[in-house]
Amino acid sequence: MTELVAALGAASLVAVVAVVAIAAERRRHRELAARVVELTEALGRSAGSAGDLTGAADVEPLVDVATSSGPSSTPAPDHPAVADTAVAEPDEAFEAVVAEVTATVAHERSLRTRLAAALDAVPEALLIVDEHGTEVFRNPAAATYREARHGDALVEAALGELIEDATAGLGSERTLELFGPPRRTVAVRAVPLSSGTTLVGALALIEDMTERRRLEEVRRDFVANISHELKTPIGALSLLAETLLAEDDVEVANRLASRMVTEASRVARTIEDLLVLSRIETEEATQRELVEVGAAMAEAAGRIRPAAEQRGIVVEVAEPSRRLAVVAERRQLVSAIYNLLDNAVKYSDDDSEVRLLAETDGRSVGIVVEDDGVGIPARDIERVFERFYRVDHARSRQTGGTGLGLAIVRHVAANHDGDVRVESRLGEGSRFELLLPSASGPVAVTDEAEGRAQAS
Amino acid sequence: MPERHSTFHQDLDRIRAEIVRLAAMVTELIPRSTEVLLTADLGAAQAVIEDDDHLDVLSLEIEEHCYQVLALQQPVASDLRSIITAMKLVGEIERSGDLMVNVAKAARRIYDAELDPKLRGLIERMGEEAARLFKLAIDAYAEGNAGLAAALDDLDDRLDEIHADFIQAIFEARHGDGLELQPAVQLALIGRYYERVGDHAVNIGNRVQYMVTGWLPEHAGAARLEARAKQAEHALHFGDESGAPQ
Repeated sequence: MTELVAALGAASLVAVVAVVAIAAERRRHRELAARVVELTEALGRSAGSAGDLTGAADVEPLVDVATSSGPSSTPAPDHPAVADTAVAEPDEAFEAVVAEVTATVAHERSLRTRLAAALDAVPEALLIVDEHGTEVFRNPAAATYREARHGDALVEAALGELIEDATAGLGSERTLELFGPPRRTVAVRAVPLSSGTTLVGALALIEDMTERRRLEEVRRDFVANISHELKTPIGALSLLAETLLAEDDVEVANRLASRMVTEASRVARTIEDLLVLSRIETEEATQRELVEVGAAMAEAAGRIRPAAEQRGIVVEVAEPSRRLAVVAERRQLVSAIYNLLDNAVKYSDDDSEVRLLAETDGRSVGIVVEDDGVGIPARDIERVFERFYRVDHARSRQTGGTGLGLAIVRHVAANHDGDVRVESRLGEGSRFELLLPSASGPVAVTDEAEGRAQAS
Repeated sequence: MPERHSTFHQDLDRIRAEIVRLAAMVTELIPRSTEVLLTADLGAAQAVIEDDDHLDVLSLEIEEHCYQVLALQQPVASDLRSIITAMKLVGEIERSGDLMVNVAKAARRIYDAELDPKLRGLIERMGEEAARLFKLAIDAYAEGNAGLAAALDDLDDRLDEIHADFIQAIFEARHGDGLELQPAVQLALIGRYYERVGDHAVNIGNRVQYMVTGWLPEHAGAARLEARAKQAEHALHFGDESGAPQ
């Protein structure tokens, strides 16, 4: 929130300064213009008196003096004295004023250009209106909210209402939750602008808060979730231990002890995954080598098979071409594929199928894990890669996952300049794709790399 | 005279902007109500139901503006069609909003029922498809795009298909996991609400075609009726059997 206030504050300050500066320049301009009029009149008067001296018949040159500024048009040369004493002073002053006005206008123009450029550079959408609510400035970011449609039309409507309030001297703010898709949070704010005590207009700002909101949520949920993930099994452990202390029946004691083992291993797994994650996060993939994708897939599939077979789930591996390879840290790559498979198996029904395949478009290699499981609701799909994020808390307890698997996958992808994508439909299944840059050129896996792949 | 003309177009622009805004409220309502339903969020359901009043107020305002323009400017030809279209669209859009409010209301009625992922997935898809159609219909209106407007009827087929799958899935859930009768009926109604929003989008498309070209699909029906009446008349006069209505 403080960041928002600061950003809004800074932007409004810029705008206020701009408006005030422009207003001040205008006032100055007006003053100068008034002086020009004054001096012109004075000039006219003295020229007029000169005319009186020369006689009413010869007024033409005097008109010249009054309308033009050149010294060449000095009045009647047969009366130099009059012209020099009575007219010379206002004439010089006049020229000075002309120079001043010219400079002021130029200065105002360049100032206005710079201010407009500065406001254009502000990332927030920004709109300035005069005291009647007529638009005087709109930066490019605000162009979206003119004759807008769908969600933006609602922002435009809110903008109109807030500006109306602001021109009546009432600043206000409104936050709009737009369901889109994509989902957005937009803050609209309008403040009255005044120069001294008079209202000179209003400034409106529109800011997209989506990313900030998302980060806030991630941070908040992470703290809540990690304490939950660690506290629950530890609480269970201490309760079980207390009961065990007071238990004499060997059979019950055995059962309690075995429950303790389960809970302890649960904590151990969570901590282990946390360590893996933090290692992947901190150290980049340093020991990169040429890894044959097929071999990494086979290794990960081999690791998941026992768990899958227990529930009658078949892990179908479509073996890719042996030439398909990536430059990666082997252990991280296998761990990422394993976590994707683990996830697919956990969220699949018994006796179903999980498919693992690899494909390439020449530039990147996509390792795909597909399942026919429960799927991910659309509203959660952006968040499943967060640490400890759970779509369904009840289910996660049954499956016994640590909630870190997909976070690990995402970090492995990031470490290797890759990406991970997900498509899912509730009740139909999910498709995760780990994208990594393909090893350059037409890849021929070296004998050495091949040997290592087979050895491990 | 030219001055009055420009005012009329300002009025028309304002009404168009208001229609777009009203429709935006509905396109927002579709994913919002869907989420209310899928998360069984009763507080959010209540908020949706209350927000419907804003929609009603704006609908009345737009209608009022249309009457004013009709009375004061007496537009003719395509200008008249624009105003009439706006008045008709208000009804279509407002009704679509009501249907989505019904979804939020139904969320309260099936609060206890546990929906299997397949049903949830199909609800999600119906919501996405209905919102997509509605947005396209409004794009067609805002752009005066008769081609897009005409395409909406075909685009609606996909929503109809998902709706049919959804009904099938309700039957399966009734047989399989023992979905209670009451939520099953509610779900069938919910499916119908989404499907109807699609139909309203198609109606908007028809109205936009009328605005641009002066033609309505109903004109084809009227022409058929007239042809049949003529044949019947002919049969009456000349005793021609073939003239009987089919």
